[in-house]
Amino acid sequence: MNRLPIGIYIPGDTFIHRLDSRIKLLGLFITTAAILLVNSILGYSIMFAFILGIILLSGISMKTALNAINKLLLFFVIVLLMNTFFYSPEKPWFSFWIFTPSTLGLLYGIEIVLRLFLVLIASNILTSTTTPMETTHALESLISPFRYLGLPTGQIAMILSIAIQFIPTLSEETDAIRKTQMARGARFDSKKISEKAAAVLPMVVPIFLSAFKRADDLSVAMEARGYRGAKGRTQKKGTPLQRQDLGALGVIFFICLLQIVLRFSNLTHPWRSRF
Amino acid sequence: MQEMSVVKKSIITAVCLALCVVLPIAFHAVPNAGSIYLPMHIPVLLCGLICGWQFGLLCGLAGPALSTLFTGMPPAAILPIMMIELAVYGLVSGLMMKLIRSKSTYVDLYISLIIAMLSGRIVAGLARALIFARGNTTIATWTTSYFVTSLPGIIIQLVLIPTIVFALMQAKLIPMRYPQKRA
Amino acid sequence: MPIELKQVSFTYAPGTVFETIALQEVSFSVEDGEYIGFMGKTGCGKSTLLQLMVGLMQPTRGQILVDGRDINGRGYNRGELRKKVGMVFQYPEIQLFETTVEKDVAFGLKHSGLSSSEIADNVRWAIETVGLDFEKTRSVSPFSLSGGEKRRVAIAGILAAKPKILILDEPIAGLDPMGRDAFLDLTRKLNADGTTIIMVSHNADALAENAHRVIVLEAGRLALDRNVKDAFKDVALIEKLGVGVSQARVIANLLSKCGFHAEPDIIRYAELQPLLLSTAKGGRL
Repeated sequence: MNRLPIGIYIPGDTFIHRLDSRIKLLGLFITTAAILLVNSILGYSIMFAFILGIILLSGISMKTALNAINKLLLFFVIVLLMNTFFYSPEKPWFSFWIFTPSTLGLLYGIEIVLRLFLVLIASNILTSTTTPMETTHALESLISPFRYLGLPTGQIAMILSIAIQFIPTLSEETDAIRKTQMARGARFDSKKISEKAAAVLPMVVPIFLSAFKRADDLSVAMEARGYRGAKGRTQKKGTPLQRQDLGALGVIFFICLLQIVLRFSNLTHPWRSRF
Repeated sequence: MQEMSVVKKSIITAVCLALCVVLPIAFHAVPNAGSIYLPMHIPVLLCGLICGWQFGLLCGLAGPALSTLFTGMPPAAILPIMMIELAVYGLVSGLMMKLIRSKSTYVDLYISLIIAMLSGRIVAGLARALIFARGNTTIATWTTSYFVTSLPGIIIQLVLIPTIVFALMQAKLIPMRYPQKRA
Repeated sequence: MPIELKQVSFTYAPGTVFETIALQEVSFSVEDGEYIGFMGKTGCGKSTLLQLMVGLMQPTRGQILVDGRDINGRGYNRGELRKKVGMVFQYPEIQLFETTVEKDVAFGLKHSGLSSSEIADNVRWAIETVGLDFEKTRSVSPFSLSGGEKRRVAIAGILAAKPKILILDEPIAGLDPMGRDAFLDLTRKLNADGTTIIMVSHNADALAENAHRVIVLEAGRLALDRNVKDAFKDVALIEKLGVGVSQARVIANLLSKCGFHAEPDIIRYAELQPLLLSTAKGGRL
């Protein structure tokens, strides 16, 4: 617990922080779609510039933004290697057992890593500028149109809200249980699998018992007050979208459209085909 | 386990979601615990087994997402695959509990768990191959080997989860599956 | 089996935005057989101090010595510490997890190196010491017991290791009066048998009746460390520190203010009784 985990909310009052969280979440989805469409140098340059712009507007330092990627460096390398060696059996540099490294594979690997990188930075910007509560409420809002398709969005929203409320409580309790059992002499360093399983029982069983007891109490309380289900459940009136929110959404849409045009017209060539 | 009201199942799901966020922190705070534990799988599997496939599915999808939002783990790169894997766990465990009625709670639980865990890993492996390597079959082999190495993880869940279910039934927090029998 | 704290300080999350100083240069020592009461306003650092004393966390600065050895020093065996020092947390019944009472109480002894017959003896003794019927409760599931019984089982689980030092964090929270009295009697008995007791409590009456010494923490610092009579004499200081004195003391004070002669070291009901009786008989009431 000594460092702040990566990608967590960093308080601030920048333009990005003030944007409506629904726009930010929707924007992330659209941006991700745009990133997945890119395949030309021009396209990538535009996306990089766009994301760089958002980072600057959000007040997050470049170091923090890139910090998240540090941990995944190994993952990127693996993806790159896997694709280089296994992507296609045709035109390999050489063939050895099951390995068929090829330029095609290498290039494909680079492209995947590039896209992952962009998507990750974008999602980090979201989580750094939006509290988890706001993001969850944004998600609840965004799925509410699906209720016309039969999805019980009200109920899902309720479950998510209650879950968030429980997190601090259960976190404290889990901590207390962990400390209690450790003070009793619980040990976790055995090698046999069956012992390893048994070792966490003293922590896991009490946690679930206590959590389910709370669930029990809460559901009894809710039913006693006449709660019958989430249909017709009302919510506090949300804040309406402001000009800047719509403006930001407009910009994101534009960028996405741009990428669609670039990809499917003849204005640019896929960069990989140059090799 | 069908006799619980929708409200109760909803709140249990909420609690399991919260535990998806809280348990990984607790496990990592224990020294020497090692990383073969899969703490986020436990609440999702339990939710599916106890509340049914719809709630299990929700728990599997939202659990990792909430955890990434609140704690930054799993990192956003791994999140989609994890959501898929856990969603399958919640879905399949719930379906299996509905379909399998062997008159022994232990047997029901073991079968449902094994099928759920295997299907989840297979689907996740396929998804991984699809996303990262264009459906190449050698990659599929790689991902199959992934779920063999997580055999210890599977065994641990098989020990932990029925124990938790029985403790909950004994504490009368969830209904007995076969009220007449003792198990 | 003394404990010694030397200039112990603790900071949560150092170097982050959430940095909080919980303890600052706390020093005191505990002798064998003492019964010490810990008091302090919420947030004063009591729980942190207890956790440091049982080795659950390491101090940011300073040393904690048990039997003259630094518990955070290299090569110190935590297992040994667990045998010597037992800790009962608040609402200890949350720790119950086994299928039978007997197994749960025996849990802490698994790695203790005792033989199984010794473990069985300790378990039996512990369950009986907390006032439960061994034969009736041993094979029962802990979850089917009442709240008070669950707490007794949890405490038995800590006592089974027969620790020389017992640390308790608000142990009587949530207990009915009979449960409270039974519990305090237990601590008195254990203390009489040689166990050192360190108890955190807001209940000044409980401490006045049982403790030898009172330590008060304020905002992470040691604010008071005196024997119980001297500590409760200075009512103004105690209240300034955010805690209270025993009711007997309060009554004695009031009577003093009304002109009766009340000894300044009355802190227990038994001491108050003669004063009340004499006041009722011949006083101005």
